[in-house]
Amino acid sequence: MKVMLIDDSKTMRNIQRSVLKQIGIEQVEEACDGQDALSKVGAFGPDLILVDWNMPNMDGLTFIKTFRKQNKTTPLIMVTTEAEKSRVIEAIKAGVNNYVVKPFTPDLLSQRINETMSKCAA
Amino acid sequence: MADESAHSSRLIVSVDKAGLSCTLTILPGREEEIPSDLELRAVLEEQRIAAAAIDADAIDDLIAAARENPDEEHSACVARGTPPRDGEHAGFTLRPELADRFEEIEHRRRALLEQGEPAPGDAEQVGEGAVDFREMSAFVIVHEGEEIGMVSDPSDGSDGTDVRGETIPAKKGHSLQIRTDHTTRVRSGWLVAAVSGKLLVSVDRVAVEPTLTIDEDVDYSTGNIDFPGDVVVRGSIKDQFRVCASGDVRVDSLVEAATIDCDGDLTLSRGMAGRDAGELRVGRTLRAGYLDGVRGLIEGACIVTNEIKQCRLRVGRAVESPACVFYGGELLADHRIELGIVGSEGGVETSVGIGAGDEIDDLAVRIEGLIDTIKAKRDRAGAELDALNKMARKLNAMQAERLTELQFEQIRADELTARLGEAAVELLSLFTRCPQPTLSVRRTLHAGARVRLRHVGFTVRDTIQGPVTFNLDRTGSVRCFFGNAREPSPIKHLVRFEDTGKSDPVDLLRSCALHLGLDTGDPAPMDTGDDTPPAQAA
Repeated sequence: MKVMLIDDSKTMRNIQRSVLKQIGIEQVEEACDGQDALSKVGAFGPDLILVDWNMPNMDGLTFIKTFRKQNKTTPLIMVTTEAEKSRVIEAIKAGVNNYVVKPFTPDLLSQRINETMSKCAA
Repeated sequence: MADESAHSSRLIVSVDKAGLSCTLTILPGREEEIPSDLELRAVLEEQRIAAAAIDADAIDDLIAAARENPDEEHSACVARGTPPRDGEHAGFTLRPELADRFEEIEHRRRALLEQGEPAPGDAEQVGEGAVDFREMSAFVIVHEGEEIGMVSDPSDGSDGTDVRGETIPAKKGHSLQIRTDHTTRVRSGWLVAAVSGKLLVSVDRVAVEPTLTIDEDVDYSTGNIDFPGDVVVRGSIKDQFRVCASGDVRVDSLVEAATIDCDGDLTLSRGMAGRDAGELRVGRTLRAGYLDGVRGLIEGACIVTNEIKQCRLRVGRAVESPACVFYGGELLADHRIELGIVGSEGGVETSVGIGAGDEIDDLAVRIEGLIDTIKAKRDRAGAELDALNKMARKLNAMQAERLTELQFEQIRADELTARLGEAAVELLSLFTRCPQPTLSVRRTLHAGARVRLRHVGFTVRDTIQGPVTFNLDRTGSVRCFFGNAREPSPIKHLVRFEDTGKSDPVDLLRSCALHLGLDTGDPAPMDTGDDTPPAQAA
């Protein structure tokens, strides 16, 4: 399985990468913001995307809207510090499939990934 | 001899011996008696000359010439057969790169004859057109599976037909005329080396010798040797030459300040006078008459009959040389050292060290250091995590990210510590499975000689007459046994202990494992035991 990580924090990307490694996912592409992600996503063709909300150049929400406009159905998980209900609803309306609030534990993240993949496969 | 017959007073038909050519002769006579084309063809048919072989133009020309000059004799070849094309013989063509190598070697041989041996130190000064006799080997080496040359199959050829339409059979080509053996095989039209070794190519033979035998010395006539198999040198190895082999090496005569590097056993029937520039690397056991001025790494055992002098040797297993005198230099072994005499009356600097090796000692120290560092990092992360948790009920974005990082840091630190703990236990188990380091001296241990048993070092105060054995007890203290004594002798008056700056790696590893709550299995050291005399145990 191929996963794209979009987060402006290298540390956070490393953390997510180590969680993915633990659940057996080795094919990972990283992007540091929404714009960077849009330029890489076509060539990489991920099966899942983890995206942060607040990033420079292009934030996560704009990325999701642009990505979904292209009729892309790849599952998306928002991994963010934005915990307010209204924000969660906004993200879901934009097209995310699941939501993880920071701080998170490795168990929680891997649980959400498995959950999302099972739902999308069904 | 031609088959010739007259068919009228004026016509002679002859067929050559091979049956490939039929000649018609018209003898002189009157013009009106000259036969017509049909008459000539009838004569040829009578002689069973095949119509397909007849050359109509030649008959026309012959008749025309006879009519023009009826008083003269006229001859022409009027029918031709097709000669057979014999089959090609099987051929062998050496691969061009190898052919070039043979040429270079021949060039090298001639140059050596013309120029003579270079003076010492001149060998590296290779100018244009000159030959570096040292670097260029005098042998062509091939490796298993390497293509040696192309082999072409024999062909059947094609049959011919004589002027009477009879078949002339072609001769089939001969099969390969050169001898080959189990050292080569044919694969897809190529003769391929079935073993690695020295390539031998002569007019009638291609073979690979898996053992390189040099009847003379390794010197400018042979160049350096780098051989994928066993090497036998019947002569000596001269100064600054190098012999590398993937198998065993045996040298019957003296080795000078040369380099030998072999993956198998090394046998120096006489010995090596290295003059502080000789180097050895031996993958298995070294056997030698004597070693002088040599540096080396021997991964197996070291067995020297007479003398080890001014050498620095690192031995992976044991030094088993009960009659050997060792003085000057350093001898290190992982397991055991057994010598006849150690040191000299003159007190030349001589040291022996036995233990699992500095590398493993260092590894134990590094494991301990890393565990401390990781624990400190984990504690810092824990303290920051506690502070963040207490600080606010609702975290801002930066704090939330930091909290995630710290949680991961703690998990990562725990994982790393666990892995290091496992490494410590594994290393401890390796240590305890090794025999206790032991030094046995059969005859004399001279005053001034320095000894290190794992982490404990001492210098001999006064010359000790053997047989004497030193080893470590379970607590890591040195014991000394004379002859076959069952009880250790007091040691303090015999030696002066020195600070080696090292801790007992076994203690270090055990404390690391216990500190992490790991089960060390509490393995009992495999020493010679309190009840067994070490000389007997050895």
